Amino acid sequence: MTFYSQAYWWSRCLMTHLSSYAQEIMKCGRCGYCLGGYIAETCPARYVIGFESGAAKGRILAARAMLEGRLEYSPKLVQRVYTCFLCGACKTKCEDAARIDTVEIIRAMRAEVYNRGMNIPDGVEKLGNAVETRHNIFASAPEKRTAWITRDINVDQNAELLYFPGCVTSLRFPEIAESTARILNRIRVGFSTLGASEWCCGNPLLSTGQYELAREMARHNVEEIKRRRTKHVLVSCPGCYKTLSKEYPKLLGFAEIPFDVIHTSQLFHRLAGEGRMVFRGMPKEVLTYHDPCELGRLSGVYEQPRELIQRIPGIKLVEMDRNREMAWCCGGGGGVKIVYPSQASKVAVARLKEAESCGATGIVSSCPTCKWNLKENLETAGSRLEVVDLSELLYSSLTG
Amino acid sequence: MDKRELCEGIAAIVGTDNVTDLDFDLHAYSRDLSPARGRVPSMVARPRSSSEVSAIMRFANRNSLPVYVRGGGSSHWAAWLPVHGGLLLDMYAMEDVLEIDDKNLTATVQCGCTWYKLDGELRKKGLTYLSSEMGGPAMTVGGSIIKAGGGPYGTTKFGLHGQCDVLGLEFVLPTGEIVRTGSGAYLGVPQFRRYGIGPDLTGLLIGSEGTLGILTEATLQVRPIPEADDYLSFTFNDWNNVMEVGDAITRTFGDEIAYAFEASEESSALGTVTVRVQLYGYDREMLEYRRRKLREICDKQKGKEVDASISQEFFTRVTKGLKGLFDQGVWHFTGCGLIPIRRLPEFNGVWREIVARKYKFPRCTFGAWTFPRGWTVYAHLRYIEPDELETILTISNEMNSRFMEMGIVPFGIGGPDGALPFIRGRLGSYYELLRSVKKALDPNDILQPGILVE
Repeated sequence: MTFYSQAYWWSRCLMTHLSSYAQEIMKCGRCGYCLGGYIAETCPARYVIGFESGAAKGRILAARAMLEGRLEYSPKLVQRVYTCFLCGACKTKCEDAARIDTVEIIRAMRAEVYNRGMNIPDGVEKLGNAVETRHNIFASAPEKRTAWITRDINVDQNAELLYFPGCVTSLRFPEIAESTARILNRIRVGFSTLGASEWCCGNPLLSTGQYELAREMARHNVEEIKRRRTKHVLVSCPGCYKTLSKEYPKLLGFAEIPFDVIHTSQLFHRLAGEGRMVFRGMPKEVLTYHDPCELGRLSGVYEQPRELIQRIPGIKLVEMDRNREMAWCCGGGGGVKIVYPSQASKVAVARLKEAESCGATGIVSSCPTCKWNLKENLETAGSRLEVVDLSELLYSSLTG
Repeated sequence: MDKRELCEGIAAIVGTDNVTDLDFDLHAYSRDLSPARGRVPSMVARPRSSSEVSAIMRFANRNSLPVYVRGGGSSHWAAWLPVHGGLLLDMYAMEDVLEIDDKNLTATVQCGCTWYKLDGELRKKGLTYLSSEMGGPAMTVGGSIIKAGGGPYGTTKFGLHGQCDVLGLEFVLPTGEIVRTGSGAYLGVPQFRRYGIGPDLTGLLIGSEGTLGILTEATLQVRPIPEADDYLSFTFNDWNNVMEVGDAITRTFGDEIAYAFEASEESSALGTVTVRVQLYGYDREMLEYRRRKLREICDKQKGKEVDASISQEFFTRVTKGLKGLFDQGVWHFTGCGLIPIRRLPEFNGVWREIVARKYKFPRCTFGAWTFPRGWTVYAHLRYIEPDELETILTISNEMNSRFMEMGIVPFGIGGPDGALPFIRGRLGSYYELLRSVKKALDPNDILQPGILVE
């Protein structure tokens, strides 16, 4: 491990106090770029709440008022702090203006209120308890994580590649993990898993202000991965991807983690490019791709999933109006689905309608939480769209 | 009534989800783009229809509740900051494009609709609104009309779009009556012409800064997307030459050579004026003629043609949001207003004297864009909050005072933290008439009190 100065570590630390972002907050020129050109364009929280306090501009003004002693945390303000989806659309817009890391400011506010023990929403407490006791967000028995590993799936515990499906994939959408594993088996890429020793990556905890518990998760997962001498970690979940690759170094004070992290869409894109994944013709279908916030906007992976979909004969890929860096959140992010499910639902319905309006009959994503929230709201939206994960689509069209 | 009862009264009109008096909600509405100190409203409401606005105004009159109104909130002269507290109306919920008439070339929108949204909808039908504000995507149609404003985009050809293309309005009087102007004033007649019955009461509202009524709908003249456009950039060493170019390209009314012409100079690089031009044509021959003509004029005035992408980047992003906006600090627009076509160098001279020579403030731009036979001039200081706030306010106050003495027509007046202190003592019978009109329409002085009219 490389040794760095204290200043270096500090610059990479996750800030858990609003005051750490005072300079950022002062940079806000109140231009309103973050609001977008209409209510439903950019910020899902503002779309739900209506008032500007739901959007970055209003949140930054409130944060400034707090720093200047004109406003204090109150139970209702704590509630509002937890309404942000952390989708980062405002941060992208602000790249043209003040380059304020709006997402980190909201996360710092959440960490601050959590550490002060202030009227934390029930959902956040339950989430923390679940992870603390069972090491997954659903409080499921740890051994259930491996239920998707049926007898006909080969797992090679000596493989250099370790598959880390994450809580939502393993425990809610095992078909995503199963499809991933079967693709790897089919093209003879060996992989191991942490099995029941896999713990929550910590992303939902970081989103809800529970940094200490997230650090505990990170420490455990890194130790387990290191013990297996794994060089590459494959993830299905963009939240796991961002957390393992970008947050763990900050949480644990590493210059870099001792393994690289790759998302299934990236690995499969590479393998398809090498000719190791060939797709057969499918019945003609028009599909659209929904960019998960944490894979797209917050990690920069846009084209690989699209290019994979376009490799499948018979499938036509169409784009929603809001795509890539300006894609609309599915509503499942930022812990809002746990804390305020009705708000998450409203955002998902808007996305489903957008997918329908572009002529798609199905919506593909690369995120189990996107699948979860979109699928769960099909009925509310009155939609007949099929919602699938990219791994499922690829497996179903793989030849050989 | 106490605040809680007032809030309940407003909630009965707009619904409980559309009114708030929570402190953190209110702080979110306490600042505009200017460095004016925060003014926190007592409550904020989001009306969604003209009838809701009407009911709010009747309620406000009964309860002597001050009402302030804002669109995207990006005014830079304290145009809506609630000087006396009270109710702030966030008009952004009224953002629908109501009708696009591609036969009569009109578009009718709710006034909380942004230029960005309107142009996006128009383009789907081969139309555009060939003007737009510099305030970025948050700038609303109502916000532009209420200040009679305009940005650099399209202004050279068409004039200030907050005035020139408005065919008719719907607004709510301070006492709650809903009024339609233009041809739509005749019941059952569409809005296709600004003059309907009697004098131009549309004009009464344009530039009224929200003091005489609340805009709820506007009908605008729109245009087909030109077949061709192009961008040219030049540098000049002397503002006299820039003025001569501006004069030449707007001399023939109705056939102005450029669609947009904008010039600017940095306080850190005096003597280099960058000029950005957008040209257009409804056929390619027309575009070629204009391009040739503009090059001849600039050449004659010692302009040096430079990379056209400077202009393309600027004009294509002006409605969507400029890049690197606050890289050098938060913006404060100052000395903004309209001047006659032949006076540009004088104003630049005073700006140089104050900003560059006296205060040696390195992060300031002086700029101007043409409209037919005039210039809109502006300066923007880029400052670090809070350390440089006092410095830029000192510079700004001095520049505003000097520009007013020289006869600038300010872009907006706003309240005591805006340009209001600078117009005192300079107003005659017109302002008295405005006061009388305000008194007649708003007898209880509840709409935008403290703004524009004292």
